[in-house]
Amino acid sequence: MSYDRDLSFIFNSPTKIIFGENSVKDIGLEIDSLGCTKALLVTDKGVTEAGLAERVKQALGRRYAGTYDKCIQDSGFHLVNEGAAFAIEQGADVLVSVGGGSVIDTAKGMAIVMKEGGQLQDYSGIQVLSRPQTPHLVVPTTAGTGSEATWVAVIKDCDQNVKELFCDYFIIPNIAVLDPTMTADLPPHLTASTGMDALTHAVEAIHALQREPIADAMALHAIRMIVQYLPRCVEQGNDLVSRGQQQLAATMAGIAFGNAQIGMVHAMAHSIGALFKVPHGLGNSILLPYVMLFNLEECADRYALIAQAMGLDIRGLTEIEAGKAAAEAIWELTKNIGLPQKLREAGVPAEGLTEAADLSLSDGAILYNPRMVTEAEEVLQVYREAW
Amino acid sequence: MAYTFGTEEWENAYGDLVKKRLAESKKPYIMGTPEWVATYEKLIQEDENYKEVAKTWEGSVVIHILANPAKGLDDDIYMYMDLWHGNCRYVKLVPRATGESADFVLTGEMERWEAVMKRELDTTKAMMQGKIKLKGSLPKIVRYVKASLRLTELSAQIDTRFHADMDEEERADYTSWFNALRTTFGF
Repeated sequence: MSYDRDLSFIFNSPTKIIFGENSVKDIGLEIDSLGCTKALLVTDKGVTEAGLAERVKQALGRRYAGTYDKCIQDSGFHLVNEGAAFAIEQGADVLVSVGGGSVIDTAKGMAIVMKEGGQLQDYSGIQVLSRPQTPHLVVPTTAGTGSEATWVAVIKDCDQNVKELFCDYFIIPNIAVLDPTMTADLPPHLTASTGMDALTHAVEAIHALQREPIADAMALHAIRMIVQYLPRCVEQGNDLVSRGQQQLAATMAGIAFGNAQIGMVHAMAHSIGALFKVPHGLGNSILLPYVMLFNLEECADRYALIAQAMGLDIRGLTEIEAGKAAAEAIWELTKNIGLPQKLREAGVPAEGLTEAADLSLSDGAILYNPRMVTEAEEVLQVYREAW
Repeated sequence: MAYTFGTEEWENAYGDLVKKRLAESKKPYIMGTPEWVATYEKLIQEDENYKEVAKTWEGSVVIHILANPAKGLDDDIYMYMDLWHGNCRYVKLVPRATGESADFVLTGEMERWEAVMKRELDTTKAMMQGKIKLKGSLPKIVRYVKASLRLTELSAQIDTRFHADMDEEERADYTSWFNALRTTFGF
């Protein structure tokens, strides 16, 4: 748990968080508080069909300027650019994203293009922006991404078949409205996989090279909440208490990794997502324990903390043993919530692992893995074990 | 006389300038001066470690130091590194437009670069914290983290005089001659 004297970090968490059942009704007033008047709703077809976008539209009232609902899983540059052009055409001065991680990230990209002009591709890099972007209010409809409180947008470069990270303090959303009723109808398998995304964020924030005590606190408590409430959310979707706690845990894990960064699990999950369309949360869920075992020698003390947060009795165990126990507890958890443990069950072909391993070396997340990874063979070894 | 960047005259005059300053300037060299840049170029060109870890790298990288008139730097500096398959073709000071058009532009305040070159600030961490901005394709540069680290290590090997360490007289003198060079060479 201890840190050395050379610890130095910046903790940045500017997102205003509004929590409560039916808090979505306050969105109009929150838009007013941002000094904005015309809100473009950014969402996907599924959210629209579920009636969730309509609830937000009603809450926006006179401030509603239109809807862009073409977001898909792993939105690409072209959709971000198209959405931004549509928003400008509608005269929007604020974005309201309603959906999961892909929707939120699409809106983050749109916010850049609306403010700076050009195309999203023009802003590739890290901390490229120099001023606040188009205001952005988020209403998550899953409880996992954490994107409502992070500085990262993951957008697919469809030409290169790679997920690109856009990292900037100026794309952190202004407001996140966490309304448990907005996640109540999420089906069990999506609840489970997106929930495991949150657990992965928390674990990776704890083992990442940029870990720090404030993010630790957020991540460790998020783990406690996820272990307790995620199975309940999967089992009984209309348990709004559990839904709310899981939402808060996801946001806390988001704040944690937004500051401490993530690692190899995400790099690998991004790659199989880009190549084989494995949903992000599911990819993370499968890969997480395998990567923990890969990293174990480097950060067993961190994994012992995770084991404790998961409620395991680690008295008498070495840190290595406790770390292994944490990985095994994650397998147990995913079994209980009905998720697969192997990549082959998620549609990843064995012959695609080499390409995925190579692609993972291009992912910014891998820079923060506690065990330095520079060779594709090392990643491939983990993929093979997880396959 | 003033030279136009990109012409043979500019190249010849810049080459002569570097030779003259390397011969006449006292060490340690001031960060971002032609003699400092030429020393950096030589270090990269002669480094076997860099050649190995960057053997497949293709593209230009610019170190962009933001102006700080209070410290004697009236305008931004762009140090352009033309890097190809482990070779460093050149490192030189270039005009703003050329600097901004590089494949990767790393931008930071003078104090940040000073901390990087003193090995007090980790570049990767600095980028994440917004202390240094990276413009360019993240997937491409991430693959070359070892090469990036080596470039940083090499910059730290230069015996460097930092702007913050200058007294008023030295700073005024530096500003005067460096601004004269800017007028002549357009960087």
